[in-house]
Amino acid sequence: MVEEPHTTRWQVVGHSVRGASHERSGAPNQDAIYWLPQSGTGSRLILTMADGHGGAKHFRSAVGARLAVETAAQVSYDFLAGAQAEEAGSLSAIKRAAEEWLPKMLVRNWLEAVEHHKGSHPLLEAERDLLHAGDVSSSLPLAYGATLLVAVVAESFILYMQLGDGEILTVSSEGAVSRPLPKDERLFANETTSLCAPDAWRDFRICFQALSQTPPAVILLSTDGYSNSFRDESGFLKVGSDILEMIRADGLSQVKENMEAWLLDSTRAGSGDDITLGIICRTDVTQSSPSNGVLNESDS
Amino acid sequence: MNQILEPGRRVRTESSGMVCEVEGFLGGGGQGEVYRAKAGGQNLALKWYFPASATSEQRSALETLIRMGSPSQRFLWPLELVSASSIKGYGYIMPLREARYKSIVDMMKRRIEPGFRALATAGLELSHSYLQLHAKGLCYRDISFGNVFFDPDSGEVLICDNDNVAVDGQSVSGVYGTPRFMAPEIVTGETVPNTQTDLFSLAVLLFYIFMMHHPLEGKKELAIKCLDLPAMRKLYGTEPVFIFDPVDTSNAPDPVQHKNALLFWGIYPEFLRELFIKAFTEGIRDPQHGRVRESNWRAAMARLRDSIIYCGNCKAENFYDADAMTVSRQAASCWSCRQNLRLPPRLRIGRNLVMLNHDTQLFPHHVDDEKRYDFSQPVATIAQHPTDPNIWGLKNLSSNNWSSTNRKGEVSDVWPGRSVTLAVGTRINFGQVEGEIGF
Repeated sequence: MVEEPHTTRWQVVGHSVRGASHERSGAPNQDAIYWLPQSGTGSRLILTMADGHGGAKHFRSAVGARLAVETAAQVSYDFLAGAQAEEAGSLSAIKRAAEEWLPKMLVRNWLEAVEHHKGSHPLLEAERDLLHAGDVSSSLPLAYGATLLVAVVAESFILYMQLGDGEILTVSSEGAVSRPLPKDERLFANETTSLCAPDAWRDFRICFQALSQTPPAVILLSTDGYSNSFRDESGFLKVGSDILEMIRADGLSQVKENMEAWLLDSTRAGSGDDITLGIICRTDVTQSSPSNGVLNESDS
Repeated sequence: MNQILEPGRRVRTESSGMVCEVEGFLGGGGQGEVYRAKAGGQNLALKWYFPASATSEQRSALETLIRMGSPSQRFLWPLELVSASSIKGYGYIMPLREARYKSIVDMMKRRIEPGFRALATAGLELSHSYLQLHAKGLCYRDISFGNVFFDPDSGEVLICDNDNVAVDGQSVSGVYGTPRFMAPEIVTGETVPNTQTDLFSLAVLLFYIFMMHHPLEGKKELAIKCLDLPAMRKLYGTEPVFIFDPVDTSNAPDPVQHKNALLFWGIYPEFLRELFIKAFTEGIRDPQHGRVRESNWRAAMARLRDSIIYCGNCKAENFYDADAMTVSRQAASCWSCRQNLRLPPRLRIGRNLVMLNHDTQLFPHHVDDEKRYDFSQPVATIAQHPTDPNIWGLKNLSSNNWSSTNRKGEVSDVWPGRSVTLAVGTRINFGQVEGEIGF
C-alpha cells in the first residue's frame, strides 16, 4: 500500500516568565524565546530558546539570550531554505550539513551579534573590570553567555539542537514522552556548556529525525527553571502527556491563555528561576485519528 | 520513538532464511534506521530503509556487494538482505560495531582524545582499507567522518555505511553526502563518484583527523554568512583553495578562528605536510594524475608512526622531523611545553628510520620487504636490562635468529628471546634486511 503524500502542519505557542527569585533581587528575566515564521504556524517551523547565565560575569546575558534566539532562528531559517533547494531524496546530505556546519554557523552568528551589540553599547569601566581581562575582545562573549535550544520542523525531518542545559521532550500521539537528545554528562549542578565557551560549536548535541513514521504530536522546549521546579524527573516528564491531553481537551489557544499563570506558579513554588516553555504542536492532534507518516512518497 | 521496527519484531534473512529479532534502536540517518538485532545466536546490526530509499536499485546494489564480499574485516559489510511479510521494504544485516570504536565526530567534539600514535594507526588502516576496496574494483562514493569509527586507544578503524559502495565507473548520478567531503568535480557536477574522487575524500578525511579542521575552510568560509548551496558550491566546488596553499593565500587560516589547524599543522613533520599540500593543490587542479594515492598515504602513515618521540619533560608525543632539522640545524622543541627535545636512539633499516622509544615495537613490515604493512605480530620490542635500568636493548620476539655486529666488528647471535644492546653503530641483521642503530 502506498501512503498518500501528506504535509503535516504545525503551530507554536510559548511564554517566558521572570523567576520568583529574580523578582525579589530585581534581576531581569534572562531567558528568551523566539520562533519563525512569526505567525507561529506552517509546515515548517523553528522554535529557539535560550537561558542567559546570570551572575556577575555574565552581566549582559539577558541580551545574549535574546541575540541567541534571534540569530539561531534566522540561521536555521536560512538553512531550511537551503535544504529546500537540495535535490529530492538527499536527506543524508541535509543531516550531515546540519550536524557538521549548523552549530558553527549558530555560534559564529551569535558572536557577531554580540560584537555588534557591544559596538552600539560600549562596555562601562565597571563592566570591563568584571571581565577580569586585559583582552576584552576574547572575553566579551562571557558577558553575554547563554544556553541555546533549537527545534526545526520541516516536511521531511525534524532537527533538535541543544547547547547547555534545558529540556527538549517529544510526545507521541499515544502520549509517550521521550527525549530526542542523549543526556550530556558534562551538565551537572550548575555547570553548563555555553555559547560563550571557546569552540562552543563542538559542544552541541544534535538529533536529526527523518520523518518516515508518524511525527510527534507535541514537541516541548523548556529552560531548566521549569524542570527544576519538579520534585523528580517522572513528575517533569508527565508534563508532556498532560499538555497533550490539555491540548486535545481544550485546544492550544486555551493552553496558551493559561501558560503565564501556570509558569508563574511553577517558579514561585519551585525553582525560583526564570521559566520559559515553548510548545510545537501538530495541528491535527485534536482530531480523532493521528496523521500518517509524512515521508513524501513522490520522492522515491 | 517513531521507529519503523519495534523491539521484538522478527524479520527474516532472505537467503539463509534465519529469523532475525530486533533488540533495540541504534540510530537513524537520511536513508533508514539501524537496530541492534540477533540472528542465529549472533549479535548483529540491522539497517532498515525508509520507503523512499528502499528502491530496486539499492536492492540490486546490495545484492552485488553481498555477493562480492567484504574487502577486509575493517568494513561493516552487508551480510544478507532481510525482509518481513508484514512490513514493506527491506533491510540488511551486518556485523555490530563494538563499543570501543568511537566516531570521529566524538573526536571533533573532544569526547575522546586519541594520541598521535592512534591517529597515525587510524590513518594507516584507513588508507590500507580503501586500497583494498579500490583493488576490488569498488568505490566508496561517500567517505566522510560520519561513517568512519576508530578505537581511540589502538587506532583500529571500522568503516560503516557500506551500502553506498558501488562498482567503479558504474555510479548512477545522484548526490551522496555533503559537499564538504566531495571532490570538487562532483560538487560542480562534472563527474559522478569514482575511485579518483574517493582519493580526494580520503585526503579530506585524513586532514580532518590530523588537523581537526577542514582543508578548504579558511578565510573564505568565514566570509559566508548564510549556509546556502551556492556558497557551498563555491567553497568546495568552483573555487576550492587549500588553507595552507603555499602560493595562494586567499583562503589562509584565521589566527583566532582556526588556531587548532595552525597549531596542528606545525606539529607534523614536513613529509606529511608536503603530502597534504600535493593533495589539495595538484589534487584539485589535476584530478586524474595529481591526487595522492592510498599507497602514498599508507607509506606516510607508517613513517609517521615510526617518527614518534616523547618529550622528556612533559611526556607529550612529538615527531622527529629529519627534514626540518637538517634545514634548521637546531634541536627541535616540544610543541606542548616548548622545552628542547632529547632524541632517543634510532634504527635505520634501508630507507626507513624508526625512533626507538621505551615502547617501540618492530613488525614484519620493518624487517621483511615481502611483508610490508604486516603489523599483525611484533618481531621486536624495546626492553630494559633486568639488572641495570640504564641499559636498553632490542629484544628478539621472532622465531628467527638475528646477528648483531658492534662498532668493533664483533659479531654475536641474537637468539629468539634475547636482546641486543642499543649502542651507536651496532648493526643488526634481521635475516632479510640489516639495520643500524644511531643517535
